[in-house]
Amino acid sequence: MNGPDALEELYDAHSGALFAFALNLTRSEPDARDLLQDLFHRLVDRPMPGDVRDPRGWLLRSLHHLAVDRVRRRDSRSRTADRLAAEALELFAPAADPDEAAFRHELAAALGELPEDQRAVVHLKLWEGRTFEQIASLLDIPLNTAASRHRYALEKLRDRLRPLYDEIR
Amino acid sequence: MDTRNLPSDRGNPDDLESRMARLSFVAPPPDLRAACLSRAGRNPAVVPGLPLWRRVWIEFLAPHPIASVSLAAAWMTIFGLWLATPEVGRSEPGRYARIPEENRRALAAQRAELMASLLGREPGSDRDAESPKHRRVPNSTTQPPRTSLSQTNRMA
Repeated sequence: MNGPDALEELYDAHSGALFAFALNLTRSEPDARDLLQDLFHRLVDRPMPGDVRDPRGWLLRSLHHLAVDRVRRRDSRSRTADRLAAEALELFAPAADPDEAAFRHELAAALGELPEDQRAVVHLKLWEGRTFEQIASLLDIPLNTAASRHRYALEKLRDRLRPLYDEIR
Repeated sequence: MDTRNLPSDRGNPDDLESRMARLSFVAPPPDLRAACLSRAGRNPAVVPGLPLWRRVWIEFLAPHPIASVSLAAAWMTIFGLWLATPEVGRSEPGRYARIPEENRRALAAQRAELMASLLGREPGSDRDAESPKHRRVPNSTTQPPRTSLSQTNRMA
């Protein structure tokens, strides 16, 4: 995968998913932008190997590594990540229906309350349709850890969203 | 790998989970594409009309600042040494232009006199002496003068 044309193809094919993952991980649009920019700038110097069978998985994995590095660096300077994670963020596309908009807003806030490692697993499972084996490989964690994080995260989301969901459905 | 105790990916998602999974995220900002691909755009192949000096700067000099500065310092040193060292063979036409005309005439007369005395002629006929038809042509048929080396060889 070399050359600007290949890079443009990668961006056009995967930027939506990558930006969503970055946004969900960082809970900050400027940080998500920086992450994506950093990822593609690195791809100029170190292109994706030609034998990669799952380009999106490879990109998601690289993005997650960058996000973890960024959070670690930021944690060493300040503890603003928790505050940012708790903030409600326009994570999902806007909805015309007020109930749907409220649900999306609540879900975004609920995701922000999850620990980052659980949020990453939930995102990859729910919105990327990845298997636990793939998630474990992407995040460099054991398979059972991926499954348990997913279970804990869903329990929290259900507890948080069930009242609203029962009300609006 | 024993898969009997692996967590199942085929769990039965409830309707809340299904509804969450159907949600779409916000799209990346439109200007992010250009920002992400800006470094790919540094490749001259995708920026037509970029001047050569700019390409050299972008591709070779800017990414390696230490090497670039070292190269510039080396060239500055070479240029400084070139300026500080007087060049032996450098032509200085001004030096000859300062010779007075009478001196030049006197030098020319002396030169003509010297040539005439060498050729055994009168100083006034130096033009004839220098003409090719009066020049002594060495006879190719005459034997070369014997040298002590040839005598030695003959003796040998």
